[in-house]
Amino acid sequence: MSKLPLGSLFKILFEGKSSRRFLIGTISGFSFSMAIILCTIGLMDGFEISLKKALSHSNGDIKFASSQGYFPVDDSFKTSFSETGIKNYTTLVQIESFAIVGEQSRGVLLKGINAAKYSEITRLDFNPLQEGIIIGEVFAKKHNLNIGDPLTLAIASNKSRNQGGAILIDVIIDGVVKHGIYEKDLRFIYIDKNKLLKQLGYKKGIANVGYIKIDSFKNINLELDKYEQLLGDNFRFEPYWSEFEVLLDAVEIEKFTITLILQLIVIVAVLNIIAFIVYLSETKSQDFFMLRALGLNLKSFQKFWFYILFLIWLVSCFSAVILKYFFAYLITNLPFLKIPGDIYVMSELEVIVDSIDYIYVFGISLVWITLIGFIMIKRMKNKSLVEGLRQEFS
Amino acid sequence: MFLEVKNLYKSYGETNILKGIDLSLDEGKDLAIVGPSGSGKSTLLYLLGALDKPSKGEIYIAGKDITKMSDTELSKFRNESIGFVFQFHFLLPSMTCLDNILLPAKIGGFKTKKVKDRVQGLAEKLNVAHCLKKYPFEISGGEQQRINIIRAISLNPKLLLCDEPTGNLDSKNTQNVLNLLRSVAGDIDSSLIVVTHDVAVSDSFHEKITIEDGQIIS
Repeated sequence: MSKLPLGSLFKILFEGKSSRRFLIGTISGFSFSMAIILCTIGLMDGFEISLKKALSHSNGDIKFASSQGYFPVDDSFKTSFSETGIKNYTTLVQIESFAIVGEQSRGVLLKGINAAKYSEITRLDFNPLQEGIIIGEVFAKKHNLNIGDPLTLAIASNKSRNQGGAILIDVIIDGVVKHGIYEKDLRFIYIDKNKLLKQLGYKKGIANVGYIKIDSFKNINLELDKYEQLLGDNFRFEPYWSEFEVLLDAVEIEKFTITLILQLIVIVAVLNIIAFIVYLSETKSQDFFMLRALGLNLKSFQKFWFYILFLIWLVSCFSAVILKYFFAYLITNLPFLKIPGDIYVMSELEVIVDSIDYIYVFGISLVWITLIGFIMIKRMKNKSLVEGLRQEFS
Repeated sequence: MFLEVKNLYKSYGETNILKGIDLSLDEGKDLAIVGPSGSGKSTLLYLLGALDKPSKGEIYIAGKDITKMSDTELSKFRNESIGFVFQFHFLLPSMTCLDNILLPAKIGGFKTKKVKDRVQGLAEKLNVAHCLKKYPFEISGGEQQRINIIRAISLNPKLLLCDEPTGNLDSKNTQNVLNLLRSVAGDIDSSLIVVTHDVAVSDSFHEKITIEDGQIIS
C-alpha cells in the first residue's frame, strides 16, 4: 500500500485555477441540488408537523361528539368516561355565529369553553377568559382589533318567541390567540361556556363537543379503538388530525413523488461530477501514469479516487445544510416568497427537516457518488499503464 | 544471473510485438537495446520494468519471476527495484524538483530524510543543487533531465531503465548523458539498460542486442 500523503495527491490534482474552479462549481451544483430537495421535503414535513401541532392546539388529542347533538355532562356521563379510562377532558358548546366589527361582519365558530381546562387539554396558551371573548390572531389583524376593543356577536336564538331572529351580544376582547392554522385564527372565537349557555337559554351542564388529552401520542389509535368499543354507541371519537386527514395523506404521497422527481436535479449534478472527474483524468493523466510508473499501485489509486469523491460528497452535504438554512430563512422571511396562508391552510409555513430526511437525501447522493466511483475504476482498470504512458509521453 | 528473460512474447490483439525474446544480464552490467522504430524495443523495456505483463514467457530479476506478481507486488517492485529515465523527462509541474525526486520515496513509504540527504549529494554531483527548490518550469531542459535521473536512482534501484534518454540531444550532450548514466549506475551498483535507435550510442555498452520485428537479430 502506498504511503504517498493524500496532500501530495491533492496538490497534483488541484494544481491550476481551472481544476479548482471546476471543483467549486461541481460542489456548488451538487449541494444546491441537495438543498433544493431538502427544502422541498422540509416544506412538506413542515406543513404536516405544523398542521398536526396546530390541530392538536384546537382539538386536544382526541375529539368527541355525541350522535344526539347536545349531551348532558352529568354524573352518568362522568362515570362512563371515568370507567373507560378517560381522565383528562373538557366539554364545550360550539355554535356558528357572526362577529360584527363596525360595519363589517364575519362568520365565526363560537366556542363556549371552560378556559382553564380547555387551555390544559389543548395546550393552547391564552389570556384568562373573563367576561369577554378571545379571538384569533388573523381575525384581530384583519379587523385591526386589540385587547379591550368592543365587538358584537350575533347568534341564532333558540327561543320560539324570537322567531329565529338573532341575539346580539356586546363583548370586550380579553385576549388574542394563535392556533397556527389560518382559518382557525380567522374564525374561532372563545367565550365562557356558562355565559354562552345562558345567552342561548340552555341549562348549565350540557355540551355538544369534547376534547380529550391522552398520556402518550403513540397510543392514540389504541385509545381510539378502546373508546369506540366502550362508548361508540353514544359518541363518535376522532383523532385531532381527522379534519385534515385527506390533505395529510395527499401531502405524504406528494412528498414521496416530488422527492423522486427531484432526483432528476441530482442526476444533473451527478453528471457535473462525472464531467469534473473526466476533466481531471484527462488533464492530469500524465501525472497519474507517472505516479503509477513510480510505484503507486492501482488499489491506492482507487482508494484515492474514492477519497476525492467522498470528500466532494461530504463538502457538498455540509454546504447543502447551510444552503437549506439560507433558503428556509428566505422562504419564511422574504415577503414575496412567503406562502399564502389562506391557500395553504397554515398561517405560515416552516421548513422542518428531520434526521431521516437528511439520511435519505444524503444517502441517495452517496449511492450516486459510489456508482460514479465504480464506473471510474472500471474505466481505469481497462486502460493499461503502458497504454497510458505511451499515449501521454508520445 | 541478475536478469533473465525466457521465451518472451507480447501481443496487442492480433498484432505480435515480441516473438520469443531470450536474454540475460549480469548484475552491474549495462545493455543497449537497439532497433528501428516499431521493432518492439520499448515494449521489451516496459516488460522488464514491470509496467506491463507479457502474453507469454518469464522474466526473472534477482531471482524473482515478475510475470507472476500481482499489481500491488509489481508496484512495490517497480518502486523499490526499478529506476526509469524517460525520453521526455516528465516532472510533475505542481511540485518542486526536490518533491519530484522524493516522490518514489513517499510512494514507497520510506523515510524521506535519509533519501533527502542522499539526493542533496547527488544534486551537488550533477550540478543541480540550486534547482531543488525550484519548479520544473523554472529550470532548463538539461537540468530537468538530471533531476529526472536523480529521481530514478533516488532509492538505489537494482535496475536502471532508460527509454531513448538521448533522443533529443546532439552528439556532445549524448555522450555527457551516457557518461552520467553509467556513472550513477556504477555508483549504486545498478544494472543499466538503455533503449536507443542510435547505433553509435549502443557501441559504448558492455552488451548490445538488436531487435527487428519483435525478434533479437544480433
